Amino acid sequence: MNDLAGAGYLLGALFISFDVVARRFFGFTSRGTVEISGYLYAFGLTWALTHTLVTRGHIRVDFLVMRLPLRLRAYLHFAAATFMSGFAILLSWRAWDIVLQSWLLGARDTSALSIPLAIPQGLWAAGLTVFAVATVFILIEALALLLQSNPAAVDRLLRSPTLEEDTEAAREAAGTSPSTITAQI
Amino acid sequence: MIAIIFLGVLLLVVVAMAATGSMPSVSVAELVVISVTFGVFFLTGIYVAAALGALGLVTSVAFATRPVHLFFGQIAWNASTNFLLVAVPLFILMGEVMLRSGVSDRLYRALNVWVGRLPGGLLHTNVVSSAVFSAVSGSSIATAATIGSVALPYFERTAYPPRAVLGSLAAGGALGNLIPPGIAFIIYALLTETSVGKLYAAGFVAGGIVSALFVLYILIHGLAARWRPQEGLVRWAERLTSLGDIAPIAFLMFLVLGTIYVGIATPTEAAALGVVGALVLATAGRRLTLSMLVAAMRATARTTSMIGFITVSAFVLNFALSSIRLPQMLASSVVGLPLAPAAVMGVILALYFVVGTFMDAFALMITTLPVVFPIVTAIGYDPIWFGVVSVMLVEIGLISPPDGAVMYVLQGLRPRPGPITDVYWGVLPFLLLYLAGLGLIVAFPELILWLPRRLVS
Repeated sequence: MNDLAGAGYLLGALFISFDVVARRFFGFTSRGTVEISGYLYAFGLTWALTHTLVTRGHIRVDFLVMRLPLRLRAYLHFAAATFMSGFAILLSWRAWDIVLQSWLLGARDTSALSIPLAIPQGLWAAGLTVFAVATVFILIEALALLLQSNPAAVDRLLRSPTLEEDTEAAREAAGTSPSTITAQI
Repeated sequence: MIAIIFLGVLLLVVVAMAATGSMPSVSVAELVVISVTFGVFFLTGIYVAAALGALGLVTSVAFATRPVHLFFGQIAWNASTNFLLVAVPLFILMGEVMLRSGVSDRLYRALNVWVGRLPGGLLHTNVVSSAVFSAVSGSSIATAATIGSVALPYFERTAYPPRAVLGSLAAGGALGNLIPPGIAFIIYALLTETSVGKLYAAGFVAGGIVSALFVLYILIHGLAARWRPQEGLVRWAERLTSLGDIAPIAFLMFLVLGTIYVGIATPTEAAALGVVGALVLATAGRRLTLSMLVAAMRATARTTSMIGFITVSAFVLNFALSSIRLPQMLASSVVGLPLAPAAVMGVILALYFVVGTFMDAFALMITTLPVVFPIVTAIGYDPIWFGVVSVMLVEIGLISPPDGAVMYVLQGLRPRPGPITDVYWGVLPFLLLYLAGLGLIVAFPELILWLPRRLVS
């Protein structure tokens, strides 16, 4: 899913560039780049959420958490996962709500293609739903581990990658071996 | 620790002011409930996106007069399809391709021909090549990783002190977002409805000021410590041929920044052109392979989902807060405080500096701007100026010990391992210089504001 999201961005870049060149030198546009690249972004955003979740990439402020004793830390990890799950479920529920509305109203966008809004919105909502399901699975796993009183496993499941792991990723990417450096900010 | 104490004091001041009635127009209960919940969520390590969403729901259910949460789906959809935001993954993708393209190696060698003879030698090359690379990269970490991986092997057989080497590279990396095109400016522009073009112009000047301070420092230090530049004279012929290695980067700079100012492209379109340009350069350097492209796309998708998810939830929260008019009320009551605007700004800057040392840079901007920005404009500060200042503070956070992410990237790239404290001590003078540059810009806003004004006349 993550790879599809990435491919979507590349596609978006090519499409927008084509449109700029066409507008500048050939005097025509597709009259739809704004909409379509927006859809590609929405799609890429939600479809990559699950991969980021599994690789523990979602941002949290854990400088305090990581200084706490292991058992307490495991409970806080669990609390964080619970909130994530709750928010993901709420969001995907609300997302399907607007898909349904767009579908019932037969809403179409204002681009030249006049795409029915329910299609991109549906793809977007599907990404959110897969994400929500994944958060529930992780929550169940964390709960099971807590009940087995295995806080170390909960920590491994949910803690953010350490800075050492991040720098390792940086080293690999700069060495041009295929890897995942997160060049955020 | 300092951070916690600072935040605690700040909260006490707010509560005290509320109790003594100096903030009459804000409903005290709402403000206290929301800010305490906010603090608890963050300190206990709840995911930032989930915390913002939950806060939005609490605000909606507890304080709003209409069921605001029913609109969350629409808000999230709008925040997921904003055309300006599309620029974020595109700039990230461009940086990821450039990182793997091998262009930086030639850039570094070429620039060394020009600045390597100055007292301070290769250290100048570190700063200058980082600054130039920043002009085609929207990311500080990508800049530090790219230039660092090229530069560090050069120092293997030299007498340069490792601290100065690592410090100058970290400092150079911290220009990544300040020198356009930066992703942080895109996020700022989106949240505050300011012009990306003006922000970039002001950021360009600010980046120039900070780089000049770095170069000056290395020059003075180089003279004092007698760091010897590399041996041999450089012929002018060699200088001219080296321009050929700078040309690709210059071409990309035009593609991304030139098109915005000439008026051919919007920032998002410029980012798309930048991706295509980076792909062309990678092809020319025979580095474009399928596995390289997949790695770049994968990294882009991951980073974008991290930032995008927070943005979506921030819009959700912002919508809920605006529905109870909290940011507006807060802004107007701050204006009513018996405090000079400069004092209020001082508190805001201190807050960004302190929180920036432990909180993810984007998360910090996205969560605070919706509340802070109305205050800033209400007390009469320029939105473009504040954009540059907040991005500078975020960059400073990236090179502040002990948690600044840029420093850890460089630590990971060292060919021969050494203690992380080398990086801490090395970056310290540059950190102070960065703060000095910030101080200049705070004291004389005109330093950076003249260019955007002239460009958009």
